[in-house]
Amino acid sequence: MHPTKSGRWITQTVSSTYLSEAVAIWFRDLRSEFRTRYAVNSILMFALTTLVAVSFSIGSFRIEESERPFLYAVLLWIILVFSALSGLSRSFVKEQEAGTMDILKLSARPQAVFLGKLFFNLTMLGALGLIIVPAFILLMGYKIKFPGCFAAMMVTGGLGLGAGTTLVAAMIAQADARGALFSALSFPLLLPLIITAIKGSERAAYGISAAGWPEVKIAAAYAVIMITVSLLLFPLIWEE
Amino acid sequence: MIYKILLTIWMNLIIAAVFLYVEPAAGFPGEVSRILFFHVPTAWVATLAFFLSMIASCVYLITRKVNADFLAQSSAELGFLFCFLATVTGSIFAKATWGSFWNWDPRQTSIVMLLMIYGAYFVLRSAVPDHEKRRVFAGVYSILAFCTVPFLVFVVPRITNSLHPEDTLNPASPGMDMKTLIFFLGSLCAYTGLFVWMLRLKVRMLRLLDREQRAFRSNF
Amino acid sequence: MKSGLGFVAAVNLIIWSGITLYLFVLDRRLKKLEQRSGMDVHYEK
Repeated sequence: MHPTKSGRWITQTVSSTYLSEAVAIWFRDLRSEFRTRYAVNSILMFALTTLVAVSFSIGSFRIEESERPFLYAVLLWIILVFSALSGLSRSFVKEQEAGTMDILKLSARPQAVFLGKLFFNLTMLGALGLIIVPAFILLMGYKIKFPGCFAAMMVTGGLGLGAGTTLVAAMIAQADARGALFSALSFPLLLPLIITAIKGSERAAYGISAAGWPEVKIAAAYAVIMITVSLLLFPLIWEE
Repeated sequence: MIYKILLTIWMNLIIAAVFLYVEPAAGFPGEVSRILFFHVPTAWVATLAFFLSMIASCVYLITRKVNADFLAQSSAELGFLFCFLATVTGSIFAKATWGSFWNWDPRQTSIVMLLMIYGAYFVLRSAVPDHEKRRVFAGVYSILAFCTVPFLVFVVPRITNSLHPEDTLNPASPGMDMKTLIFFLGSLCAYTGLFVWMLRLKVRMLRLLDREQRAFRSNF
Repeated sequence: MKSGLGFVAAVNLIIWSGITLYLFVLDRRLKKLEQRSGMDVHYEK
């Protein structure tokens, strides 16, 4: 309950800061992910399968030109969100399954653990976005009037996705029925973000006067607020 | 005991009066506007209950008193019930005035969002076996979910315009006549009283259940 | 006043009576259970 009390964590030394601990956890996760490639494979395969299914059944000419900016934004975000939900819970569930949860609790401060896992999830989301978004644009022939704004929407949307799901992942790792629970718990929290991101992508692609910058700001605010609240609440669920 | 009987009589009077005494509001087809006396109080009670649940969750996380969690859980369950009733009555009103039961009006979107959040809240509660952990998780989740609600309030009106009646059925506006206003406020009070009664029953039930479970466990 | 409103009011009153009856029964049962386990001291008489 008192994360600032000194001398409680084994590896906590004078020189270790929140950030250095977080980065250590982040790199450790990346290394173990690089060995097994479990999370990244499942997320990417899920995304590619959905993308192929969407692209095959709709193709690049089925939808009217005027409808495209909106409908393509909806499809893109559905693919991104649900493939993210299929794999992001791994970051904490794998600790639980490997039995390393308690060691992690002892070896770093809670906020540092949260930040490390958040960085890891954001890395996963970055990889997902870098592969899926260009593939989607090419396969579907998605014409985007403001690429800069569209890219910013992808980045802030991804940030929000990571920010809104990391705390939920930490909770469901300690609960029963983990797989289905993660989507069920995350989706209501993500709904405002998804609505914003779809609207922002549509506006960036359509290219109306204000483009999608207000939506980019809303998504960024969502990410900042979710990260702040999660940092405050995380010690409560971590110290149990 | 006496206030429960008074509440029963009061509610009977309200029901009889809003159908037989109050005239329907102008600007709405037929008798549709009478749903005001049932729809708005349920929505108000749902809001009150969810807010109370959030506050009780905070209190639980700070003090770790079990009673606060009982209050949070009971309040969330009753809020869910009243939220569902508000959705159904609102949907009936939508069919009668706008022509379809469901058309993703911002009000409908936000109420579905609330139902989903608290649906997930109950799923989380049922999925954590450890009592202490379950209470903490539920509290954390309800605070986290509460932080996303302001976004919905800002975001959704940007997408579509609302058809939800605001002015004609707003108590503060001159659109509502005196008779309607009196029975509207009376109905609000009756529903709030009903909520308090049900809430106390639910809290007592949870307390008994908890006690039974503890007694059962201590037998081993 | 339109005809049929009386019928709707009656249906509403019957539903409401059912709800109240249920709540009163629940109240009594809970009180009995509380008395049996000695928990009734904190509640109204």
